[in-house]
Amino acid sequence: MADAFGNAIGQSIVGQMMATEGEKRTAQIASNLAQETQQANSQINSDFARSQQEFSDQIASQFDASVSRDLDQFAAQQTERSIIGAAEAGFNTPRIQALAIPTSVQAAINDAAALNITQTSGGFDFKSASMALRQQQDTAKRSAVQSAVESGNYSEAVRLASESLRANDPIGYALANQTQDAPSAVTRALGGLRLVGGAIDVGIGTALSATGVGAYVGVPLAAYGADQYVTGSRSLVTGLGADSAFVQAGEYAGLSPFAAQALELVTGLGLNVGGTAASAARVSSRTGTESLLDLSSVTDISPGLYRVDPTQLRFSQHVASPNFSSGGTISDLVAELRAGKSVDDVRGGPLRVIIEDGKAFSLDNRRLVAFNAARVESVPIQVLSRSDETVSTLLRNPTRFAPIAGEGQYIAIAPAAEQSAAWQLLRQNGLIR
Amino acid sequence: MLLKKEISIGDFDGCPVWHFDPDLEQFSPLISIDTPIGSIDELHFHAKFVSPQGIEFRGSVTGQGDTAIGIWSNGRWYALHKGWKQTSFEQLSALVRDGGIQVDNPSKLLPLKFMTLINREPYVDWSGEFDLG
Repeated sequence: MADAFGNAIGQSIVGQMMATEGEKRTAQIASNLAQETQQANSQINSDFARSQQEFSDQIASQFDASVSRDLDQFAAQQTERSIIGAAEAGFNTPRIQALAIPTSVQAAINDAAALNITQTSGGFDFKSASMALRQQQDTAKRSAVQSAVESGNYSEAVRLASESLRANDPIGYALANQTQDAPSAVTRALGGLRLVGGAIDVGIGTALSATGVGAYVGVPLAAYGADQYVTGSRSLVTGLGADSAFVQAGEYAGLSPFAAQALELVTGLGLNVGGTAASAARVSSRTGTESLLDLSSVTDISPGLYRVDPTQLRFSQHVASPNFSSGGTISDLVAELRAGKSVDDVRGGPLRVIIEDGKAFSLDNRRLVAFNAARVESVPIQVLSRSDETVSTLLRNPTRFAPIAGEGQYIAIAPAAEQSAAWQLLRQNGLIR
Repeated sequence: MLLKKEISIGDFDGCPVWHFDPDLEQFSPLISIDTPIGSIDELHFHAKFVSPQGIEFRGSVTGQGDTAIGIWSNGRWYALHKGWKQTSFEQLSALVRDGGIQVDNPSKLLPLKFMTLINREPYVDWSGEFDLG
């Protein structure tokens, strides 16, 4: 009896010892997992920060190059401006009220000021400006994607799943089935591909989300991309296979793992085909009135309606009155535009434009002055055929069709009484033909 | 004062000289030589043109005729301006095309000899040659 009791006690102690041993091992595994998770998190955060910095540097470099080009242009224009100033003093000719300059430098300076960028001795700190701009864009994009996603139930579910995974377990390590799979380089590589594909889908989907019909594909595609991005990043870091939130949701809804994965594959293909089609539709719509035509990269343009950045247009006249013939002044229009008036509601219709030697000249100079002064981003234009009768009317009037220095980067704004003297002044100085 | 957004060749029969106000963007007949103008380049004088092939056109010269001219044909203006060569050649091509003019190349119509058709005191008619080259 005593032996039996002693055996029972002994077994119990051995059992407890075994249990304690098991718990220790479990705790050790858990500790290891936590440590690895922390290291992986740290690595992914570091990689993300580095890629963000590289991207910011790239943007800053492009921005600096653009500003440098604009500054050169501005210097050339300032020289031209001094010539006019000297001539004005020397010839005692009329006072030109203002010299309107459609410069992007001015826009850049205004942008920097708007972003509270301080001026340094060498100029503006454009790198900081561009990074601040990037931050603004990121915030705006995030909020746009969020509101777009919130408007659709389908995408909302996927987004929430992704967000919760990111918040509680950024790399999904604890959810991975570590007992079934060993970390694999192949799985890691596939995870990397999945991450890249997801990022691309997010990019395309986000871009399409801003459009009308494209949003029907764009929003789910962005959400799908985000899910793939998160899942891919988990596999990339852990080297372990992982189910996306889409598959988990499918399984939760009663589908088998295989069926859920098949549905994910079909959905992904469908969304990507739809996204490609929607992107193609956007590209093809660039010939319509809603797309922005880059005049710096074209040599000739077919007659028709387009939208352009007004700073890319040139003035066809050397001088224009500050008053509109239909009433009001250029300053009035600038004030209205700054107060929120749409450029499409401005009287006169699209700016009429003629292309000569690859340069786009506006025939509606006063409105162009106002649009540039108000820093309007895009304006509707109608490119006229060079054989058009409207063009012949202007061509017969040299005083109406004489851009300064043949380039039309400037226009003098002078009242009617002083325009003929301005004409003489510019002609004497070889600035008009 | 009579103001017109655009004039036709028939308007030159009533008045051989018209003033274009670049600010108002309108034409008015120049009745008196004392009318203040900003520049001679604001004046349009009735003229006739003859091509090297002997083809005659009616139209107007602007100012002294050294910068811009207008040819009236097929019920519309075709204009040539020395500073806007590409556009001017397309205007010339349209003139040839619309009028069914038989020339190998539209530029063969140049140079155009011109004679003003003012025929009114105190103006003095003059002649010249216009080319885009």
